[in-house]
Amino acid sequence: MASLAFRSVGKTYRIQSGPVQALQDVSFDIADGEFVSIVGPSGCGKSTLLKMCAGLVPRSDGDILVDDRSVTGVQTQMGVAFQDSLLLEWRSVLRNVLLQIESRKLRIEDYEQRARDLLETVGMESFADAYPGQLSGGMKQRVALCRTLVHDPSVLLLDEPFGALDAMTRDQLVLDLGKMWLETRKTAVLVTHSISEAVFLSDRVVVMSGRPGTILDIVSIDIPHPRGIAVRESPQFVEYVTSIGRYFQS
Amino acid sequence: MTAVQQPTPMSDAAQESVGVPARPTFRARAGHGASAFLRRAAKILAIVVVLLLLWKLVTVVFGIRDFLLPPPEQVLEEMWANAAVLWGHTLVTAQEVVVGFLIAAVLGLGCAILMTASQLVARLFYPALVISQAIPKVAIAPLLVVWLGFGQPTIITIVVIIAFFPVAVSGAGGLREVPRDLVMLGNSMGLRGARLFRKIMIPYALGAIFSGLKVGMTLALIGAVVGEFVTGQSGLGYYIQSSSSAFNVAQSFGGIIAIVVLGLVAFKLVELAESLAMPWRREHSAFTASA
Repeated sequence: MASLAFRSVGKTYRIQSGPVQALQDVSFDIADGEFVSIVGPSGCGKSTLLKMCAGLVPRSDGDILVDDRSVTGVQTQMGVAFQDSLLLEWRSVLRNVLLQIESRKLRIEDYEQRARDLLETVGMESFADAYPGQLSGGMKQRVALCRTLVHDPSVLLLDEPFGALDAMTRDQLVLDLGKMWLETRKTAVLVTHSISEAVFLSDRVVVMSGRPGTILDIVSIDIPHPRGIAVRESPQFVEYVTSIGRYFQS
Repeated sequence: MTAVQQPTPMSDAAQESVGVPARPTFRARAGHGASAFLRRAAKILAIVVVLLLLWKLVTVVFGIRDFLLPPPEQVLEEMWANAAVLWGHTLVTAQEVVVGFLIAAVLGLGCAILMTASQLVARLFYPALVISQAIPKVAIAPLLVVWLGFGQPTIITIVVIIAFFPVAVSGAGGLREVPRDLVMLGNSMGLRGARLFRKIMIPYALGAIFSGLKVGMTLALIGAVVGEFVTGQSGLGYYIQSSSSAFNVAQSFGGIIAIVVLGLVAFKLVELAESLAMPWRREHSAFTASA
């Protein structure tokens, strides 16, 4: 488990026509075990923020702290999920999940049962020996979630993991993710376009502006966990979604 | 190349309700595969027979004389009579092709990996590699004779030079197509350097690598025959050239047929290696075929 802190984080890209400020002065904290979503328009640098947190992309300004230690290299203790499931088509579902273990040079036998249990949580246990080419988009993303969790990461970084899915599949996966998160209560950061998804899953929602990305507001979602599907029709939920939505009406 | 993120046409619900298990589908196709193979072989045989008949027809209808275009039966007779000699020359050429191709494959893939691993190497060599594609490699064959002398080492060098480029260019292209996020995913799991290449990048690029190897194999045979034209004392190129200069056109045709067969066998061997190296491709296509 871990806490995160962003201190005046900025990112500047250098392209031919000159420097482009993608992120500016982003500061907020995430407590141990908290689920925080970041919403904002395309190109506001929210994905970049996540990748900087994982040490996959270098930051230009400010500091990012994980358990009070500055991020300087790749944070392999974390679990990262991307918009594409990025399953390797030459590995079976189970071996895709276990890639996480193999890559870290951990003992595969110690984690195989855990991998199967995770697949069972998302209803994929009977597909353990299938290949990704045989799966639909939603099934692939479920496997990718298992891969993100199998090594018991200290922090979950989810970069629009449902962005490429149709609405019905997406709703189901949001429920699955909520369930999986409740079981472990790991520190989690979710980047998303969907305000209702963010409100449904999060303890707090960070609202960001367009380029250069800055923080407009941080909204605490005071709805108790576990949140069932009915929560989405409650006036409280609708109020959160509309009030956050107002930031993006021009 | 099918991308990992390729969306499936079926909706989630539809595919789950179908829930076709992979293995029975695959096994069913294996039985299907044997008869498909026979049907394909019969089709090829039919094409060959039709071509031979057409050939015969042309020589008869136009009254073409034997020393210009001998009828097919004369060529086959010639091949049968000279079988041992022809076989010997075929083996020489096959040896040059295989040795040259293997060297080119190793060098080409090594070069592709280096160009992907190091920005510096890529900046230095990639433009040179693209420009050198425009040089007709066959044109430097006589120069190589000047530099290296006569004989098989020179011919193998020609094969290596001509087969190297497609392998290196396709390989580098395939490795560059690995999505950035996939590389980052690997990094986030602690994969870097050689392990990142072995576990993610090279398998991902195998499709592109094999298309380069197929072109390379085809060119390797051309390189070997050209090399034998220029400097050979044996091999099918030499056989064709010496037959032609003795006006033994039937014998030349025998050599050409041997080259065609050798080329087909070599190409099929690369295809076989491809399907062995990428078994998931076969299983995947079996599924989509039956779905």
